[in-house]
Amino acid sequence: MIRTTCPYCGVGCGVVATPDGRGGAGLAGDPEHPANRGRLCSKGAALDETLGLADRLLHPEIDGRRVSWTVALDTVAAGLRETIARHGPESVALYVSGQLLTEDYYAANKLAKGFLGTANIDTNSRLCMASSVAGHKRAFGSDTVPGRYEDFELADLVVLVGSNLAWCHPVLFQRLEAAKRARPDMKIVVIDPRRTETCGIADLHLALRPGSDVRLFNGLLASLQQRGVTARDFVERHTSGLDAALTAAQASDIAECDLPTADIATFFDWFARTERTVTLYSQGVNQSSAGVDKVNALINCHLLTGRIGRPGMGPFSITGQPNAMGGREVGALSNTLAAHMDFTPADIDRVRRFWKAPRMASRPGLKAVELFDAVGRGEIKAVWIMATNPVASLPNADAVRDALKRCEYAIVSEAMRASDTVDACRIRLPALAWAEKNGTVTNSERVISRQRPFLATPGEAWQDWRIVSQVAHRLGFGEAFAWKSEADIFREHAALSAFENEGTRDFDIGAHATIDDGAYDMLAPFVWGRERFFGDGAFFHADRRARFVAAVPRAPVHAPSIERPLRLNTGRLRDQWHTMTRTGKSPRLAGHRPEPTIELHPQEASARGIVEGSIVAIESQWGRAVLRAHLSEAVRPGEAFAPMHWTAQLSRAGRVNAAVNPAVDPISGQPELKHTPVEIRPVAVTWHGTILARRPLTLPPLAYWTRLTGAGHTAYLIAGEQPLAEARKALAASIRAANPGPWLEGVQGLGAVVGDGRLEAVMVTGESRDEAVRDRLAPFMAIGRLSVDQRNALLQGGGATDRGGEMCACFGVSCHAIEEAIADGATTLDAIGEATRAGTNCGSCRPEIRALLRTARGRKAA
Amino acid sequence: MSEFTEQQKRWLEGFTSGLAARRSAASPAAAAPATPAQPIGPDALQYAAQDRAVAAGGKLVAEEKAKRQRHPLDRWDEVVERSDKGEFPKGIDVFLTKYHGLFYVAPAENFFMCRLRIPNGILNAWQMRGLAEAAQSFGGGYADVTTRANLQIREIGADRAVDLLTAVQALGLTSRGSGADNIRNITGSPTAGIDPQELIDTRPLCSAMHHYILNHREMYGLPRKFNIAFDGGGKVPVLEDTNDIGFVAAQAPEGLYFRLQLGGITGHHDFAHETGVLLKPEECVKVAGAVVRAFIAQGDRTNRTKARLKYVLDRIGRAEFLKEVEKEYGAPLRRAGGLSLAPRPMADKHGHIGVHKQKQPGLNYLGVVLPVGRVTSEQMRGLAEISERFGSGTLRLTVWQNLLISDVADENVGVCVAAIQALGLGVEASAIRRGLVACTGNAGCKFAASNTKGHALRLADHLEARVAVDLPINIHLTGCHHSCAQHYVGDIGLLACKVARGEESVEGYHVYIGGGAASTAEQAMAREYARDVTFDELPAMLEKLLAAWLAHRTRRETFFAFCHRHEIEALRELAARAPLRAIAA
Repeated sequence: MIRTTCPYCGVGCGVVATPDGRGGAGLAGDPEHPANRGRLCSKGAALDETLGLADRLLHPEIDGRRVSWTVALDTVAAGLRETIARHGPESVALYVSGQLLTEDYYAANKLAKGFLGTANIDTNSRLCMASSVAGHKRAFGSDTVPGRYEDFELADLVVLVGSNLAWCHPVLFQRLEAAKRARPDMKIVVIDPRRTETCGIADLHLALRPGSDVRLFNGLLASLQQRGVTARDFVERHTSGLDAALTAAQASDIAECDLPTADIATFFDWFARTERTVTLYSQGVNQSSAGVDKVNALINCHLLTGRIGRPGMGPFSITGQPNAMGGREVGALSNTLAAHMDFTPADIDRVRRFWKAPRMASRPGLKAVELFDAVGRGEIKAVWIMATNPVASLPNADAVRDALKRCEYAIVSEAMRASDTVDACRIRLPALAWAEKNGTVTNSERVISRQRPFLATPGEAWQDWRIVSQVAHRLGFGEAFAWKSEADIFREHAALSAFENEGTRDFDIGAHATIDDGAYDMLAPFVWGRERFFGDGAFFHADRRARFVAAVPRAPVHAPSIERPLRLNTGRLRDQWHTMTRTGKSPRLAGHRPEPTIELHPQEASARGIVEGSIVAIESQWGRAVLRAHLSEAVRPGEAFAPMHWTAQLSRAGRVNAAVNPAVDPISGQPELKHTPVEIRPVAVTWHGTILARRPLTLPPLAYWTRLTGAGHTAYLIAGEQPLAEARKALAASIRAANPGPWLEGVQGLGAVVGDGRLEAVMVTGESRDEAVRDRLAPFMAIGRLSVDQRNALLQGGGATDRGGEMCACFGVSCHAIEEAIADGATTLDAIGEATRAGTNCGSCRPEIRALLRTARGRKAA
Repeated sequence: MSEFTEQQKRWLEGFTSGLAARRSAASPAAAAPATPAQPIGPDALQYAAQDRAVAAGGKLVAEEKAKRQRHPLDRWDEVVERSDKGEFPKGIDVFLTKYHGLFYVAPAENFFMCRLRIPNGILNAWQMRGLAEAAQSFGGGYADVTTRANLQIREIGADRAVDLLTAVQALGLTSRGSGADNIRNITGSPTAGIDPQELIDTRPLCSAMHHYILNHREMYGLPRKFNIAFDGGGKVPVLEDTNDIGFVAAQAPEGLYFRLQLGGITGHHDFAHETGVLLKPEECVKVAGAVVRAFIAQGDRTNRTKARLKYVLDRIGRAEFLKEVEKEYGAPLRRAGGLSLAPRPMADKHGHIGVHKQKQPGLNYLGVVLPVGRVTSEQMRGLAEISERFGSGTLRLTVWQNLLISDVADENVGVCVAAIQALGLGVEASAIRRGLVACTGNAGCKFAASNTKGHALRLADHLEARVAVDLPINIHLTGCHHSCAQHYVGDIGLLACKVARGEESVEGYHVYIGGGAASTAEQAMAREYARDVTFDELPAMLEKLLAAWLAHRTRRETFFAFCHRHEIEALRELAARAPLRAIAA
């Protein structure tokens, strides 16, 4: 039994792994971990299905050919050395990841900033919480998350801004939900243009116009001041800049938020009256060209009321990655230096001395979007990407892909082979995956936990720090990278955090600088710094005061136009994470939202001749994606929502970031991923189809396809513009190339390969979309050898199963099963849980079950 | 019948074919010509052989009678007529239609399969593109690369058969004589002309042999099928020792020769044997013609199971047969006696996969992995395009059911590999998958007892996830005793069978191990390791066997050598003790 930490979001749940000795493991929530106390969400609960070695990168490759580590490392080192010699240190860059462990992160940052001599090392956290970092630093003088998770539970008012907590941080949502159940007086306000599942427990939902958050919080600040809800003493002793902030706040027009006046009044009233208030925010705030101002506008309200650093109070940024916080601590952002130090001459000198660095970076480097622009322009000639998928996750993603393809030294260290970024890079280094890595991570409440390996390292994969140090050796920096273990790095990292600190920097884990290997192995989760920061002031600006920041509202950079009148918002789904390289391997997680969809208000859909299930093209000035339409009143008219998860590995053109604009926040450099003007038009597909195959296919050209993992098979949902007969022939050829065997024709466009009695693959095509095909056919894939009756049933179109989609991923409970339970008299979540088990494990589906209950009640009432 | 000299025969042929032409012009096509009393024309050799068989008290098999009634190649009108009517051939016509390269494969599938002829396995981009179109328009939209470095297009409807044949011929290719009792595709070293170690470029020889056959009507009068291969001494094995005639390049101090080997037929447990004859390259085709004519004259036409060349050799003796060949050739053949020949440069068992340097500086050939040889029309077009963009537009099929793209400049290798990967293919694979060969199987062949291609892939999926095989190993899966996938020369050879399991009968295999071929200095027939193993049990059985090898081998000992160092019983015991391993990389 091995205690480790979940590899998904920034909640940082403890996980207990029990390896089965055959390459897999049983996984459960760690009852002793402070973040989750044994809970897991649907994604965490399905981790066991993601441990297989399919799609892994297991050997170094150059130009698509396997090479030895020696050749690969020599090539990387020579590339970096020659590029720097010829074009200077700024011509190389690293792009790293919140999925790196702290030790890996530290090694990469040290190499770049102290030895390559460039601060061109940025991280995918840039896409996630860079605006929070910048907002924190402006307000507090340091990148400090002041509070703890328990503050949401202790609060009387929780304001969720731009956060679909129910889906993106489900364990925190469950904690919040439980708190509200225990104390029904607790108020929850959701501020989000979309009516997300999180709204299910909200007392008030403010569906504001996208990008108008600053106006709302400016309005709140002005209103609090007007009502006299101010902590005069705190403001006076511990802050500065209130007047300018108020002036800006009073000047901004709240009508632009497009909210009912009464709702605004309710929100302001609750906020004014409730001392114990937490404002929890996430990507809806950060991923904006005004992200930093949004952060400061809401922090302003907490500073004014002095609601910070005390139980049940404070602004709280929730990160999306398992170790975004660790990266911030290490300083692996291009505009931070190391260990919560910046590019001041004193800090640079301090770090130089600590590292004994020959070539310190002397100024901030390029931020993610700029960095890849520079690759595209040929200014950066060697880029080393670690553990992230920018070709899928950055805006204007096609330009990123093209830039990498043109770059001579496009290097990637990655655990997964099946990634759009790995495809685009010439030099591929196999890295370890979650279950094999060793080190530490920091979650959103500053708790440092161990990630411990519980599976053997596969193939020739290495942990990232080892790759970095081997390259450093080849560059002649062996002494500075002579670590023997993760513990060595952790000690050095801890020592740097304390080096000449003396309380001037919030991040100080110097107490661990002498931890021995045994203690590192056994290290229990601990929170760094104080339990809560800033309750008594003691901010980290030189004068120890916090700053109010005058936030002048501004609209998103690119406004909708007549040609592109819709605002495209992007985000996450309940059962997928990031670019699906891990969650995409789980059949359990594939059921909830099997396809990349664009959610569109019915009004906008009907104006465009789009119906539920239409295949549509989303077009912007930057690019195009092709998704399936889902009509929903949860999005406002004039807006559309698409998940950011799908990649070219999983869908023909489901990579929505190809269409997303590359505008960024001028301070944080975080891209405005949630606001792109687009037009959406139906694609003239003439037929739809479903394929289930044991072995994955190389599909012929199709207008639309999505691949998903089934139990023992891969499923494809497809649609095309070409004549069906032509498509069927090409599809059958593809199926039979990968799944050879006798081909049988059934009724209504069904064709199947049945070899040695076993169903190897089956295809159904037709003029209209039949959503239930997969439900009907999947059971036949679970049968080893079909009986004659079963074979006949298959050829007649399969069983009668129609599950109506997946609801509970843990127990595989379908929507229809829950509707049946409701029809049979279950009227509460608990009753449904008793009848079907749905919602009784991870609880991630509870908001949706609740919605079904509401719908049923509505029908009964009507 | 008295023997004619070569000269007399030629004269007779000219004379009699003139007669035949006049006669056929005089009589309506529909009327079956009466069997001439005296064999005449280019078919005389065959007819004479039949007559001798009958005269000796034998009874011609049905196929021989049908051939005699009218030569199958003269039945084009029947092929066209059936195609026009949308009908498939019946009865003996199924056999006869194979002379045009069309195989009616019912009951496996209610379709034709068309097998081509591609000398030395080499075709160019526009031919590949044209075949892709033909497969898509008239077939199933895919093609299979065969163990004779050839292509087969499948799922051809009765009504599209002639369209397909004419489309193939419009590409400068042909399917004539690719089936039934004919000389199959002429194979040669796939790296001919680009191979750093080859002794001779086999392309001109394969081409000359190919055209010799097309232009010699008597080459279509065999009692049974016939295989010819040219091994130029290159890196990629062509398995010439499994052919009826294997020409093996050999270096002697005074020049380059081909060793003549005869009678290979591994399905009947024989490799081609060394005749001791040495041929100059320019002599090979004529000698092959003479061998074939001797075979036409001597082959058994009363028993198809004993009709192959091997049985002629067994019956009349190798020396005697060579005399017949010399008679046909019209001159004595040079004997090796005392000549010191350099040993064959060793072939690379898996040299058909991956990126390799050519003998031309700065150029490379890329061996593309095709899963058990199947390519879709889409991929064929893609590969054609890639060969044009990055190579010389040359595609080289191998007997390992894959293909090479040649003449790729060093600087283009990376993009070329990426382009291949974009087609869903690759140039690298596990040792298990590199050497995986499977015949059509019961999906498309009525003889096969199992779904060989499907099983091959499942087997590879299982083994490569569990056994870290680090040396080349070949696994061959054959559906029936015809041995199209040559299971007896595999490190592991699997011969399909039906296995009774309770009430039902499921697909399974007999397992043979330790086979190999001459070009890798491993010539041996695989030995039986297990019989009647259901496929469900097979992956674990082979996993244990391979695990036993990896655990007990001496340093870098090949599976072949390991198998030969142990008795079968000892191997079974070692395997039984090998644990089933957890999934490893």
